[in-house]
Formats: sequence, structure tokens, C-alpha cells
Amino acid sequence: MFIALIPDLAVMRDRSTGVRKQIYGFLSLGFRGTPRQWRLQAIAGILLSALILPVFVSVHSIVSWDFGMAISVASWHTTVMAPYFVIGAVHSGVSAVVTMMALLRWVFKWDNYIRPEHFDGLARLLVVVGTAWFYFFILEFLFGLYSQESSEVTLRNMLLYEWPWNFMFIVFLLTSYFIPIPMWLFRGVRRNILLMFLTSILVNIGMWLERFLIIIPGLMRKQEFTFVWANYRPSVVEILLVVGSFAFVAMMVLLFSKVFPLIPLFDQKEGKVLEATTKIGRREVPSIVREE
Amino acid sequence: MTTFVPKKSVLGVFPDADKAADAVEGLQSNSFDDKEFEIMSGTPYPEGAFGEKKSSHRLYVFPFIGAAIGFTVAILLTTATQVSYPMVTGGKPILSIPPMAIITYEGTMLGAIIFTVLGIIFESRLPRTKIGLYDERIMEGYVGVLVTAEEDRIPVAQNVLKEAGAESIKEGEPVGV
Repeated sequence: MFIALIPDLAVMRDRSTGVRKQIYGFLSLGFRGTPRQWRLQAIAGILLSALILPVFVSVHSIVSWDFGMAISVASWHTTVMAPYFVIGAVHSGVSAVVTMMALLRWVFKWDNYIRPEHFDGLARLLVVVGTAWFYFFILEFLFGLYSQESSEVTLRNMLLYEWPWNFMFIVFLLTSYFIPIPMWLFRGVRRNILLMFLTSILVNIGMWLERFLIIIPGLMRKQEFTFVWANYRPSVVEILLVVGSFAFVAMMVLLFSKVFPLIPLFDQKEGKVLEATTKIGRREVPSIVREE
Repeated sequence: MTTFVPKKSVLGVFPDADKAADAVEGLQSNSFDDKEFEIMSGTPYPEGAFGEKKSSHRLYVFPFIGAAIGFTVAILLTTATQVSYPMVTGGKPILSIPPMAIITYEGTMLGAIIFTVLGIIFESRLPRTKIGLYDERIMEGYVGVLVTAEEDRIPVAQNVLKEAGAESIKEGEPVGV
């Protein structure tokens, strides 16, 4: 992210004064926009994306193995955890991006930069990702029943039939899959910013509940003997930690948006340089020149 | 015996890319070497848009070096840790390959990423502590052509920049191209 920000930090260096100029000057590393620097910027984007992607997959796989290797905890000990976590991270992550896009579009009036076709594209991606995620969820749920281990079956019984777990379970299913995904099948919904905002929020709620329902019921160790059952109620400290973490992330995003450009300026300028019109028959159609 | 002629820099600021390309063409036809001038812009123009020669780089080497270093460090770290606290469990070997593989993979990728970032900065000839002769309009859409040559050739460069349509011409100490 820092590498991609360097050209924009140089713009801010040239547009600011005083201490800000010094800070942006330090961060932009003396960037001057030579052809060599621009060329390396383009290569850097491709190279770093290619390197980050396997790390993203491995990070989520390893986190999931922390759960999967826990033999004694019901519902955790399953081999499907790694792809389930990776695809779950994409599902909730892309949905969070949609939420932020809608918010930024409204707050900063970026109607010309964040356009309905961007939401459309992301929603199409989410339909595929969400369905893949749901497939892994079904597998994870069924594997437990298929094993016929009493702790696994009891835990799933609890999720399906006991208050308030059944309520949370239904809300989780509706919000993370059964409401948003069918809605995103319609073009009108995909290009409606308000509906995209609301449905992506639903996914965020659902995916938060998913993590809650993976961690808490397993740790309650609800087994066939009632005397080893335990119940979980969040303490005040835990509630404050959750609320605090949400507030902290929101604050960091707001602070970032205050001091750094959220849309790459050079990308927009490049688009302006490369835009052209092509004559097809008697019509002039907007087009863009691309380098091979 | 060679005589030392002091160098100077001159910067021409152009309102559009066409005029800057004309200036580059003029400099080339006046025997200015490609190493004696550079173009500055706030927009990534397509390669060769100004008629400049393509510069070579070695960025692709950096991830491999980083990966090799990361791999070695990870192997050493995991091996040294296990050998330092040898615990024989169930008659199995001290070094456990599966967890070592995970840490080695992460170490390799981490090394590759860190060295790529460093490589981008290094190959971009950054960081520059002194920005040198520069115009703030460059990041606003103007294009700068900076010539650094012997003092006696500077008037030729100025003339070329002026004829190509430079909106302003600045002179200053050499900054190194």
C-alpha cells in the first residue's frame, strides 16, 4: 500500500506547506515521476499482488489449522477448515469493501469515481464467492453429523433447536447467504447503491455471527453428560473489548481517509491521458487506449 | 590531460506532453546523451511517449534474493530452536518437518515481499534526500524536462527547451540524472 501511495504522497507534498510538507516530503521519498519510476510503479503493483495472494491464503489456512488441530473441541476438528476460512475471509472482506465504497460515495460525493458498475462487478464476484463459502459451510456442518460422535451431534442439535443459539444460527444463515445472494442475482439490486450497502452490511453481520458460532459453542463443551455442560455469557469487559475494537477500526479508517488519498490520483490522471473516442459507423464511442 | 568543466542543470516546464516530446527530440538532435536529461511528470504516460530510451532494471532479482534469505533464516531459526531444546517424543526425530515447512514457507514469502519493496525503492533511485531542481506544477499535470550537462552546453539546452515551448525555464545546481 505504501509503494502505491508514493506518487500521491508526492502530489500532497507539492500542494502542502509547513510541517505537512515536511511529513509528506519524507514519506514520498523524493519521488519526481520519472519514466523509470512510473514503470517500476506499474511492475510493483503486479509483483506485490502476486506475492501477497499466496500469503493471504496461507495466513488464513494457518489460523484455521489452529482450530482444525484442536482434537478435543467439538466442531473445530475438521479438515475442511482451511479453504472454509480462506473463502469466508474473501466473502466478508469483499462485502466490507462494498460497505465502505457505498459510505465513501455518499460522504465524499464520489459518484463519478465509484460507479454502479463497480458495485455490479463486486456483487457478481460475491455471488460466486458466497456460494463457494456456503458449500464449505454445508460440508463442515455435515462432516460433524456424519462422524456420529456424540459431542459433535449434540453441538449441532444445540445450534438447531436451542434458544438463543437457534436464533443466532438462523440469523447467520439468512444474513450471510439466503438474503444477499439471491438479491444479487438481479441487476437492479447490484446497481442500487442503497441496497448494496444494506446487503453487504447483512453479510458482515452474518460473517461475524459465523465466527461467533464457530468459537463459542465449541468451547462450551456441551457433551452427552449434563454435568460437564457450561454456558457462556459475555462479561462487561468482553463486550467493551468488542465495541472498542469496532470503534478503533472505524477511527483508523477515518484518520487514514483524512490524511491519505483513498482513490489513487495517478490512476485517474492516467485514465484521462489514455481516454479516447472511437468512431463506429456514425457514432463516437468513448474508449480507452491500453498498453500491451 | 582532461579539463574539468563544471556541470549545471536546467529545467523546462511544459504544459503538455507533446511539447515535452519535442524538447526531448531537440535535445537528442543536439547531441545530448539520454543520460544527460530526464523527464518528470505527475502522470504515468505510456513508455516511450517522450521518445526517451527504455531504461533497464533488475527488480525481478530482488524477490528471489529475498526468498533465498527468508528460506535460509527460517530453516536456521526452526532448526536451532528445536536443537536447542531437544525433546524426544515417541521416539520421533528431533526436527519435525511439517511445522518447519509452514514457518519456512512464511519466511520465504516474507523475505520475498520485503526485498521486493526494498527493490522497488532502490531501483526507482529513491529515497532522494534532496529533490534538486524541480517545479511543483509537475504533479499538477505539467511535464518537466531536466537537463544536466557541462556549463558551456547549458545555453544550447535552454534554447532547445524554449523553442519546444517551455512555459518556464529554471537554472540551478546539478542534481545528478
